[in-house]
Amino acid sequence: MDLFPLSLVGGLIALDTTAALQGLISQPLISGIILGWLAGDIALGLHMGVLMQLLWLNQLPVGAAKIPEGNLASIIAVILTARLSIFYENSQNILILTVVLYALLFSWLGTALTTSIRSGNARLFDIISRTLDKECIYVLSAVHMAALLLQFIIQTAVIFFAVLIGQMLLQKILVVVPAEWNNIARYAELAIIGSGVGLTLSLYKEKKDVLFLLIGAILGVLFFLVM
Amino acid sequence: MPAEKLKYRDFFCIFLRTLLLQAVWNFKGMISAGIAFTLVPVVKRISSNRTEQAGILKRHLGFFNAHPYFASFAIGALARLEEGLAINKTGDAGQIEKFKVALIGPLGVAGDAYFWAIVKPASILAGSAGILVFNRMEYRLGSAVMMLVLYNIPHLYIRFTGLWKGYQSGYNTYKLLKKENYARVKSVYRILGAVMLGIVMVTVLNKNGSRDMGALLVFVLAITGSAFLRGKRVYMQPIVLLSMGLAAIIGLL
Repeated sequence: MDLFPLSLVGGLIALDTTAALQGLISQPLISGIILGWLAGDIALGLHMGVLMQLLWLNQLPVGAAKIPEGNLASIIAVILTARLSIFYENSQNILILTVVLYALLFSWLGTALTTSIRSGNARLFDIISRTLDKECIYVLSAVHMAALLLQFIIQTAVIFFAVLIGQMLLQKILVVVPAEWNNIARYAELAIIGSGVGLTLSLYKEKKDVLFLLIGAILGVLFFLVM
Repeated sequence: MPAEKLKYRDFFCIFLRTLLLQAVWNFKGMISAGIAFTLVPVVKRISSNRTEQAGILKRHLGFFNAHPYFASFAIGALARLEEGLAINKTGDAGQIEKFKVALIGPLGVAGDAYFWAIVKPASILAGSAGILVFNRMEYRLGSAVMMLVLYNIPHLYIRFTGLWKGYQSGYNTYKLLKKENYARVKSVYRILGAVMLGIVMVTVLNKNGSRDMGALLVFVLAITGSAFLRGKRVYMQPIVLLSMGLAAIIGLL
Protein backbone atom coordinates (compact mmCIF):
# COMPACT_ATOMS: atom_id res chain seq x y z
CA MET A 1 0.00 0.00 0.00
CA ASP A 2 1.20 3.53 -0.76
CA LEU A 3 2.18 6.09 1.83
CA PHE A 4 -1.00 8.17 1.59
CA PRO A 5 -3.52 5.37 2.27
CA LEU A 6 -1.22 4.06 5.00
CA SER A 7 -1.19 7.53 6.56
CA LEU A 8 -5.00 7.64 6.36
CA VAL A 9 -5.24 4.34 8.23
CA GLY A 10 -2.60 5.57 10.68
CA GLY A 11 -4.59 8.78 11.25
CA LEU A 12 -7.73 6.73 11.88
CA ILE A 13 -5.94 4.41 14.31
CA ALA A 14 -4.40 7.40 16.14
CA LEU A 15 -7.91 8.67 17.00
CA ASP A 16 -8.20 5.74 19.41
CA THR A 17 -5.50 7.26 21.63
CA THR A 18 -7.82 9.87 23.18
CA ALA A 19 -10.57 11.11 20.91
CA ALA A 20 -12.57 7.95 20.21
CA LEU A 21 -13.09 4.53 21.83
CA GLN A 22 -9.71 4.23 23.63
CA GLY A 23 -9.71 0.47 23.27
CA LEU A 24 -5.92 -0.08 22.82
CA ILE A 25 -6.16 -0.24 19.02
CA SER A 26 -3.68 2.62 18.77
CA GLN A 27 -1.11 0.85 20.96
CA PRO A 28 2.08 -0.01 19.02
CA LEU A 29 1.40 -3.76 19.15
CA ILE A 30 -1.96 -3.49 17.43
CA SER A 31 -1.19 -0.56 15.12
CA GLY A 32 2.03 -2.36 14.16
CA ILE A 33 0.09 -5.46 13.13
CA ILE A 34 -2.53 -3.51 11.15
CA LEU A 35 -0.06 -1.22 9.38
CA GLY A 36 2.47 -4.01 8.84
CA TRP A 37 -0.24 -6.12 7.22
CA LEU A 38 -1.36 -3.24 4.99
CA ALA A 39 2.25 -2.44 4.07
CA GLY A 40 2.74 -6.06 3.06
CA ASP A 41 4.92 -7.28 5.94
CA ILE A 42 2.89 -8.25 8.98
CA ALA A 43 5.92 -9.87 10.69
CA LEU A 44 7.87 -6.61 10.46
CA GLY A 45 4.88 -4.63 11.82
CA LEU A 46 4.60 -7.05 14.73
CA HIS A 47 8.35 -6.88 15.36
CA MET A 48 8.37 -3.07 15.43
CA GLY A 49 5.21 -3.02 17.52
CA VAL A 50 6.61 -5.23 20.25
CA LEU A 51 9.90 -3.31 20.15
CA MET A 52 8.23 0.05 20.72
CA GLN A 53 5.37 -1.06 22.97
CA LEU A 54 7.06 -1.24 26.34
CA LEU A 55 8.82 2.12 25.94
CA TRP A 56 5.64 4.10 26.57
CA LEU A 57 3.84 1.73 28.91
CA ASN A 58 4.77 3.50 32.14
CA GLN A 59 3.53 6.88 30.88
CA LEU A 60 0.15 7.32 32.55
CA PRO A 61 -2.27 9.78 30.88
CA VAL A 62 -3.58 11.04 34.20
CA GLY A 63 -5.71 14.20 34.02
CA ALA A 64 -4.05 16.88 31.89
CA ALA A 65 -0.58 15.27 32.11
CA LYS A 66 1.64 15.85 29.08
CA ILE A 67 3.17 12.53 28.15
CA PRO A 68 5.19 11.41 25.10
CA GLU A 69 2.97 10.58 22.11
CA GLY A 70 4.19 7.01 21.82
CA ASN A 71 1.29 5.76 19.73
CA LEU A 72 1.74 8.32 16.95
CA ALA A 73 5.52 7.85 17.05
CA SER A 74 5.11 4.08 16.71
CA ILE A 75 2.74 4.45 13.75
CA ILE A 76 5.38 6.61 12.01
CA ALA A 77 8.12 4.11 12.92
CA VAL A 78 6.22 1.10 11.56
CA ILE A 79 5.37 2.77 8.23
CA LEU A 80 8.90 4.12 7.87
CA THR A 81 10.52 0.75 8.58
CA ALA A 82 8.13 -1.05 6.24
CA ARG A 83 9.02 1.36 3.42
CA LEU A 84 12.78 1.26 4.00
CA SER A 85 13.50 -2.31 5.10
CA ILE A 86 13.52 -3.81 1.59
CA PHE A 87 16.33 -1.42 0.56
CA TYR A 88 18.47 -2.06 3.62
CA GLU A 89 18.26 -5.79 4.22
CA ASN A 90 21.93 -5.88 5.23
CA SER A 91 21.67 -2.87 7.54
CA GLN A 92 18.58 -3.85 9.54
CA ASN A 93 20.16 -3.05 12.92
CA ILE A 94 21.19 0.45 11.85
CA LEU A 95 17.79 0.96 10.22
CA ILE A 96 15.90 0.03 13.39
CA LEU A 97 18.22 2.14 15.53
CA THR A 98 17.73 5.25 13.37
CA VAL A 99 13.98 4.71 13.01
CA VAL A 100 13.56 4.42 16.78
CA LEU A 101 15.64 7.59 17.29
CA TYR A 102 13.41 9.35 14.78
CA ALA A 103 10.29 7.99 16.54
CA LEU A 104 11.60 9.26 19.89
CA LEU A 105 11.84 12.73 18.38
CA PHE A 106 8.25 12.46 17.18
CA SER A 107 7.05 11.20 20.54
CA TRP A 108 8.32 14.49 21.93
CA LEU A 109 6.90 16.59 19.08
CA GLY A 110 3.65 14.64 19.42
CA THR A 111 3.22 16.00 22.95
CA ALA A 112 3.27 19.53 21.52
CA LEU A 113 0.80 18.43 18.84
CA THR A 114 -1.59 17.06 21.48
CA THR A 115 -1.35 20.34 23.40
CA SER A 116 -2.13 22.29 20.19
CA ILE A 117 -5.12 20.07 19.42
CA ARG A 118 -6.41 20.59 22.95
CA SER A 119 -5.96 24.36 22.62
CA GLY A 120 -7.83 24.22 19.30
CA ASN A 121 -10.57 22.26 21.03
CA ALA A 122 -10.98 25.19 23.44
CA ARG A 123 -12.19 27.24 20.45
CA LEU A 124 -14.65 24.50 19.54
CA PHE A 125 -15.77 24.55 23.16
CA ASP A 126 -16.48 28.29 22.87
CA ILE A 127 -18.51 27.63 19.71
CA ILE A 128 -20.60 25.05 21.60
CA SER A 129 -21.15 27.50 24.45
CA ARG A 130 -22.17 30.37 22.14
CA THR A 131 -24.46 28.21 20.01
CA LEU A 132 -26.22 26.71 23.02
CA ASP A 133 -27.07 30.27 24.01
CA LYS A 134 -28.99 30.41 20.72
CA GLU A 135 -30.84 27.22 21.80
CA CYS A 136 -29.38 24.99 19.12
CA ILE A 137 -28.50 21.67 20.80
CA TYR A 138 -27.38 19.98 17.58
CA VAL A 139 -24.15 21.95 17.79
CA LEU A 140 -22.83 19.37 20.28
CA SER A 141 -22.98 16.50 17.78
CA ALA A 142 -21.75 18.69 14.92
CA VAL A 143 -18.76 20.00 16.87
CA HIS A 144 -17.84 16.51 18.10
CA MET A 145 -17.83 15.20 14.54
CA ALA A 146 -15.86 18.25 13.38
CA ALA A 147 -13.30 17.74 16.16
CA LEU A 148 -12.86 14.10 15.17
CA LEU A 149 -12.47 15.01 11.51
CA LEU A 150 -9.99 17.76 12.33
CA GLN A 151 -7.87 15.47 14.49
CA PHE A 152 -7.98 12.78 11.84
CA ILE A 153 -6.77 15.23 9.18
CA ILE A 154 -4.01 16.66 11.40
CA GLN A 155 -2.75 13.24 12.49
CA THR A 156 -2.87 11.89 8.93
CA ALA A 157 -0.88 14.89 7.70
CA VAL A 158 1.67 14.55 10.50
CA ILE A 159 2.14 10.84 9.76
CA PHE A 160 2.40 11.44 6.00
CA PHE A 161 4.98 14.23 6.23
CA ALA A 162 6.90 12.63 9.10
CA VAL A 163 7.34 9.44 7.07
CA LEU A 164 8.19 11.39 3.92
CA ILE A 165 10.82 13.53 5.66
CA GLY A 166 12.10 10.55 7.64
CA GLN A 167 12.46 8.52 4.48
CA MET A 168 14.57 11.22 2.80
CA LEU A 169 16.63 11.87 5.91
CA LEU A 170 17.28 8.24 6.78
CA GLN A 171 18.16 7.32 3.21
CA LYS A 172 20.81 10.04 3.22
CA ILE A 173 22.15 8.84 6.57
CA LEU A 174 22.08 5.13 5.75
CA VAL A 175 24.02 5.66 2.51
CA VAL A 176 26.99 7.17 4.33
CA VAL A 177 26.96 4.81 7.32
CA PRO A 178 29.70 2.16 6.88
CA ALA A 179 28.43 -1.43 6.57
CA GLU A 180 30.37 -2.58 9.64
CA TRP A 181 28.29 -0.24 11.81
CA ASN A 182 25.45 -2.67 11.38
CA ASN A 183 27.43 -5.10 13.48
CA ILE A 184 28.11 -2.43 16.09
CA ALA A 185 24.38 -1.74 16.30
CA ARG A 186 23.51 -5.44 16.75
CA TYR A 187 22.48 -4.90 20.38
CA ALA A 188 20.22 -1.90 19.64
CA GLU A 189 17.00 -3.93 19.78
CA LEU A 190 18.00 -5.49 23.09
CA ALA A 191 18.71 -2.04 24.50
CA ILE A 192 15.29 -0.81 23.37
CA ILE A 193 13.42 -3.79 24.87
CA GLY A 194 15.63 -3.65 27.98
CA SER A 195 14.80 0.03 28.40
CA GLY A 196 11.12 -0.75 27.93
CA VAL A 197 11.26 -3.46 30.60
CA GLY A 198 13.24 -1.18 32.96
CA LEU A 199 10.76 1.67 32.51
CA THR A 200 7.80 -0.68 32.99
CA LEU A 201 9.32 -1.99 36.23
CA SER A 202 8.44 1.37 37.78
CA LEU A 203 4.81 0.21 37.72
CA TYR A 204 5.68 -2.91 39.71
CA LYS A 205 7.76 -1.72 42.63
CA GLU A 206 5.73 -3.07 45.54
CA LYS A 207 7.29 -5.91 47.55
CA LYS A 208 4.69 -8.48 46.49
CA ASP A 209 5.29 -7.61 42.82
CA VAL A 210 8.84 -8.97 43.10
CA LEU A 211 7.46 -12.38 44.04
CA PHE A 212 5.19 -12.44 40.99
CA LEU A 213 7.97 -11.18 38.73
CA LEU A 214 10.03 -14.16 39.93
CA ILE A 215 7.11 -16.53 39.36
CA GLY A 216 6.83 -15.15 35.82
CA ALA A 217 10.54 -15.64 35.26
CA ILE A 218 10.34 -19.24 36.53
CA LEU A 219 7.31 -19.93 34.32
CA GLY A 220 9.24 -18.51 31.36
CA VAL A 221 12.23 -20.76 32.08
CA LEU A 222 9.95 -23.81 32.50
CA PHE A 223 8.22 -23.02 29.21
CA PHE A 224 11.49 -22.97 27.33
CA LEU A 225 12.74 -26.14 29.06
CA VAL A 226 9.54 -28.02 28.17
CA MET A 227 9.22 -26.66 24.64
CA MET B 1 -44.94 16.52 24.67
CA PRO B 2 -44.72 15.78 28.43
CA ALA B 3 -41.43 14.80 30.08
CA GLU B 4 -40.81 11.05 29.86
CA LYS B 5 -38.55 8.60 31.66
CA LEU B 6 -35.49 7.36 29.79
CA LYS B 7 -35.99 4.28 27.63
CA TYR B 8 -33.52 1.42 27.06
CA ARG B 9 -32.63 2.70 23.63
CA ASP B 10 -31.65 6.03 25.19
CA PHE B 11 -29.06 4.21 27.29
CA PHE B 12 -27.65 2.59 24.19
CA CYS B 13 -27.39 6.01 22.50
CA ILE B 14 -25.70 7.47 25.58
CA PHE B 15 -23.32 4.49 25.71
CA LEU B 16 -22.28 5.04 22.08
CA ARG B 17 -21.77 8.73 22.78
CA THR B 18 -19.50 7.94 25.76
CA LEU B 19 -17.07 6.40 23.25
CA LEU B 20 -16.46 9.95 21.95
CA LEU B 21 -16.35 11.54 25.40
CA GLN B 22 -12.89 13.05 24.93
CA ALA B 23 -13.19 14.19 21.31
CA VAL B 24 -13.38 17.86 22.36
CA TRP B 25 -11.06 17.54 25.41
CA ASN B 26 -9.77 21.04 26.16
CA PHE B 27 -8.08 23.01 28.93
CA LYS B 28 -11.18 25.13 29.66
CA GLY B 29 -13.83 22.57 30.46
CA MET B 30 -11.75 19.35 30.08
CA ILE B 31 -14.38 16.67 29.30
CA SER B 32 -17.43 18.85 30.02
CA ALA B 33 -18.29 19.21 26.31
CA GLY B 34 -18.24 15.40 26.13
CA ILE B 35 -20.54 15.16 29.16
CA ALA B 36 -23.02 17.56 27.55
CA PHE B 37 -22.75 15.58 24.28
CA THR B 38 -23.63 12.31 26.05
CA LEU B 39 -26.60 13.95 27.77
CA VAL B 40 -28.29 15.01 24.52
CA PRO B 41 -30.54 11.88 24.41
CA VAL B 42 -31.51 12.60 28.04
CA VAL B 43 -32.60 16.19 27.45
CA LYS B 44 -34.49 15.18 24.31
CA ARG B 45 -36.45 12.63 26.36
CA ILE B 46 -37.18 14.80 29.40
CA SER B 47 -38.07 18.01 27.59
CA SER B 48 -39.45 19.10 24.24
CA ASN B 49 -38.75 22.74 24.92
CA ARG B 50 -35.67 23.97 23.06
CA THR B 51 -34.88 26.63 25.65
CA GLU B 52 -35.02 24.08 28.47
CA GLN B 53 -32.94 21.54 26.54
CA ALA B 54 -30.23 24.08 25.73
CA GLY B 55 -30.32 25.38 29.32
CA ILE B 56 -29.70 21.92 30.80
CA LEU B 57 -26.85 21.19 28.39
CA LYS B 58 -25.29 24.60 28.99
CA ARG B 59 -25.25 23.90 32.74
CA HIS B 60 -23.12 20.83 32.07
CA LEU B 61 -20.48 22.81 30.18
CA GLY B 62 -18.92 23.86 33.49
CA PHE B 63 -15.49 22.42 34.27
CA PHE B 64 -15.55 18.65 34.68
CA ASN B 65 -12.87 16.01 34.49
CA ALA B 66 -12.83 12.29 35.19
CA HIS B 67 -11.33 9.09 33.91
CA PRO B 68 -13.04 8.58 30.51
CA TYR B 69 -14.45 5.13 31.38
CA PHE B 70 -15.44 5.90 34.96
CA ALA B 71 -17.14 9.10 33.78
CA SER B 72 -20.01 6.78 32.79
CA PHE B 73 -20.98 6.60 36.48
CA ALA B 74 -21.37 10.39 36.52
CA ILE B 75 -23.27 10.41 33.22
CA GLY B 76 -25.70 7.75 34.49
CA ALA B 77 -26.23 9.62 37.75
CA LEU B 78 -26.71 12.96 35.96
CA ALA B 79 -29.27 11.36 33.64
CA ARG B 80 -31.20 10.18 36.69
CA LEU B 81 -30.99 13.53 38.48
CA GLU B 82 -32.00 15.57 35.42
CA GLU B 83 -34.87 13.15 34.83
CA GLY B 84 -35.96 13.53 38.46
CA LEU B 85 -35.75 17.31 38.23
CA ALA B 86 -37.81 17.43 35.02
CA ILE B 87 -40.47 14.85 35.93
CA ASN B 88 -40.82 14.86 39.72
CA LYS B 89 -39.26 18.30 40.38
CA THR B 90 -36.93 16.64 42.92
CA GLY B 91 -33.69 18.46 43.75
CA ASP B 92 -32.46 21.55 41.96
CA ALA B 93 -29.88 22.50 39.36
CA GLY B 94 -27.43 23.87 41.95
CA GLN B 95 -27.51 20.62 43.90
CA ILE B 96 -26.83 18.61 40.74
CA GLU B 97 -23.87 20.86 39.91
CA LYS B 98 -22.40 20.45 43.41
CA PHE B 99 -22.84 16.69 43.18
CA LYS B 100 -21.08 16.62 39.81
CA VAL B 101 -18.12 18.62 41.09
CA ALA B 102 -17.87 16.35 44.13
CA LEU B 103 -17.53 13.33 41.83
CA ILE B 104 -14.47 14.68 39.98
CA GLY B 105 -11.91 13.46 42.53
CA PRO B 106 -13.30 9.95 43.20
CA LEU B 107 -13.90 9.26 39.49
CA GLY B 108 -10.39 10.34 38.54
CA VAL B 109 -8.66 8.46 41.34
CA ALA B 110 -10.64 5.24 40.84
CA GLY B 111 -10.21 5.21 37.06
CA ASP B 112 -6.57 6.21 36.87
CA ALA B 113 -5.49 3.75 39.54
CA TYR B 114 -7.61 0.97 38.08
CA PHE B 115 -7.16 1.29 34.32
CA TRP B 116 -4.06 3.31 33.48
CA ALA B 117 -1.86 1.89 36.23
CA ILE B 118 -3.06 -1.72 36.35
CA VAL B 119 -5.42 -3.09 33.68
CA LYS B 120 -3.70 -1.46 30.70
CA PRO B 121 -0.10 -2.47 31.55
CA ALA B 122 -1.18 -6.00 32.49
CA SER B 123 -3.13 -6.53 29.26
CA ILE B 124 -0.32 -5.13 27.11
CA LEU B 125 2.31 -7.16 28.95
CA ALA B 126 0.24 -10.31 28.44
CA GLY B 127 0.04 -9.59 24.71
CA SER B 128 3.74 -8.74 24.51
CA ALA B 129 4.72 -11.89 26.40
CA GLY B 130 2.68 -14.06 24.04
CA ILE B 131 4.17 -12.40 20.97
CA LEU B 132 7.70 -12.81 22.30
CA VAL B 133 7.27 -16.39 23.52
CA PHE B 134 5.64 -17.88 20.44
CA ASN B 135 7.25 -18.23 17.03
CA ARG B 136 4.18 -19.24 15.02
CA MET B 137 2.39 -16.25 13.52
CA GLU B 138 -1.10 -17.58 14.44
CA TYR B 139 -0.19 -17.74 18.12
CA ARG B 140 1.48 -14.33 18.02
CA LEU B 141 -1.61 -12.75 16.44
CA GLY B 142 -3.75 -14.67 18.94
CA SER B 143 -1.75 -13.04 21.74
CA ALA B 144 -2.53 -9.59 20.32
CA VAL B 145 -6.23 -10.48 20.19
CA MET B 146 -6.01 -11.77 23.77
CA MET B 147 -4.53 -8.43 24.81
CA LEU B 148 -7.51 -6.59 23.32
CA VAL B 149 -9.97 -8.97 25.00
CA LEU B 150 -8.22 -8.73 28.39
CA TYR B 151 -8.42 -4.96 28.27
CA ASN B 152 -11.74 -4.33 26.61
CA ILE B 153 -13.86 -6.65 28.76
CA PRO B 154 -13.33 -4.51 31.89
CA HIS B 155 -13.23 -1.36 29.76
CA LEU B 156 -16.64 -1.86 28.13
CA TYR B 157 -18.05 -3.40 31.31
CA ILE B 158 -17.21 -0.25 33.29
CA ARG B 159 -18.53 2.02 30.54
CA PHE B 160 -21.86 0.21 30.35
CA THR B 161 -22.50 -0.82 33.94
CA GLY B 162 -21.20 2.55 35.13
CA LEU B 163 -23.93 4.18 33.12
CA TRP B 164 -26.60 1.81 34.34
CA LYS B 165 -25.57 1.69 38.00
CA GLY B 166 -25.01 5.45 38.06
CA TYR B 167 -28.57 5.89 36.78
CA GLN B 168 -29.94 3.53 39.44
CA SER B 169 -27.95 5.13 42.25
CA GLY B 170 -28.34 8.85 41.55
CA TYR B 171 -26.84 10.82 44.44
CA ASN B 172 -25.50 7.57 45.96
CA THR B 173 -23.19 6.94 43.01
CA TYR B 174 -20.11 7.81 45.05
CA LYS B 175 -20.68 4.57 47.03
CA LEU B 176 -20.02 2.61 43.85
CA LEU B 177 -16.56 4.12 43.57
CA LYS B 178 -15.15 2.65 46.78
CA LYS B 179 -11.72 1.06 46.33
CA GLU B 180 -12.94 -2.23 47.76
CA ASN B 181 -15.39 -2.68 44.88
CA TYR B 182 -12.51 -3.15 42.46
CA ALA B 183 -9.90 -4.69 44.73
CA ARG B 184 -10.23 -8.26 43.43
CA VAL B 185 -9.97 -7.41 39.73
CA LYS B 186 -7.13 -5.00 40.44
CA SER B 187 -5.26 -7.63 42.36
CA VAL B 188 -5.71 -10.24 39.58
CA TYR B 189 -4.50 -7.82 36.88
CA ARG B 190 -1.58 -6.64 38.99
CA ILE B 191 -0.41 -10.22 39.50
CA LEU B 192 -0.95 -10.92 35.80
CA GLY B 193 1.13 -7.87 34.83
CA ALA B 194 4.03 -8.76 37.14
CA VAL B 195 4.07 -12.41 36.02
CA MET B 196 3.96 -11.38 32.35
CA LEU B 197 6.81 -8.91 32.84
CA GLY B 198 8.86 -11.74 34.35
CA ILE B 199 8.06 -13.91 31.32
CA VAL B 200 9.03 -11.07 28.94
CA MET B 201 12.44 -10.68 30.64
CA VAL B 202 13.25 -14.39 30.55
CA THR B 203 12.04 -14.77 26.96
CA VAL B 204 14.16 -11.90 25.64
CA LEU B 205 17.17 -13.21 27.54
CA ASN B 206 16.61 -16.76 26.33
CA LYS B 207 16.24 -15.74 22.69
CA ASN B 208 19.10 -13.22 22.58
CA GLY B 209 21.34 -13.27 25.57
CA SER B 210 21.79 -16.91 26.53
CA ARG B 211 24.83 -17.49 24.30
CA ASP B 212 26.22 -13.96 23.99
CA MET B 213 27.80 -12.15 26.94
CA GLY B 214 27.52 -8.77 25.18
CA ALA B 215 23.78 -9.20 24.66
CA LEU B 216 23.31 -10.29 28.26
CA LEU B 217 25.27 -7.26 29.47
CA VAL B 218 23.30 -4.81 27.29
CA PHE B 219 19.97 -6.25 28.38
CA VAL B 220 20.74 -6.29 32.09
CA LEU B 221 22.31 -2.82 32.05
CA ALA B 222 19.43 -1.39 30.01
CA ILE B 223 16.87 -2.79 32.47
CA THR B 224 18.64 -1.74 35.65
CA GLY B 225 19.79 1.63 34.28
CA SER B 226 16.35 2.52 32.92
CA ALA B 227 14.59 1.46 36.12
CA PHE B 228 17.06 3.48 38.19
CA LEU B 229 16.82 6.62 36.05
CA ARG B 230 13.04 6.39 35.87
CA GLY B 231 13.04 6.24 39.67
CA LYS B 232 14.98 9.54 39.57
CA ARG B 233 12.18 10.97 37.37
CA VAL B 234 14.34 11.29 34.25
CA TYR B 235 12.28 11.58 31.02
CA MET B 236 11.96 8.40 28.97
CA GLN B 237 13.60 9.74 25.78
CA PRO B 238 17.07 10.37 27.33
CA ILE B 239 16.84 7.01 29.08
CA VAL B 240 16.29 5.16 25.80
CA LEU B 241 19.02 7.20 24.11
CA LEU B 242 21.45 6.27 26.87
CA SER B 243 20.57 2.58 26.51
CA MET B 244 21.11 2.70 22.77
CA GLY B 245 24.43 4.50 23.26
CA LEU B 246 25.47 1.82 25.73
CA ALA B 247 24.48 -0.88 23.25
CA ALA B 248 26.61 0.78 20.57
CA ILE B 249 29.62 0.97 22.90
CA ILE B 250 29.32 -2.70 23.90
CA GLY B 251 28.76 -3.56 20.21
CA LEU B 252 31.97 -1.73 19.37
CA LEU B 253 33.91 -3.61 22.03
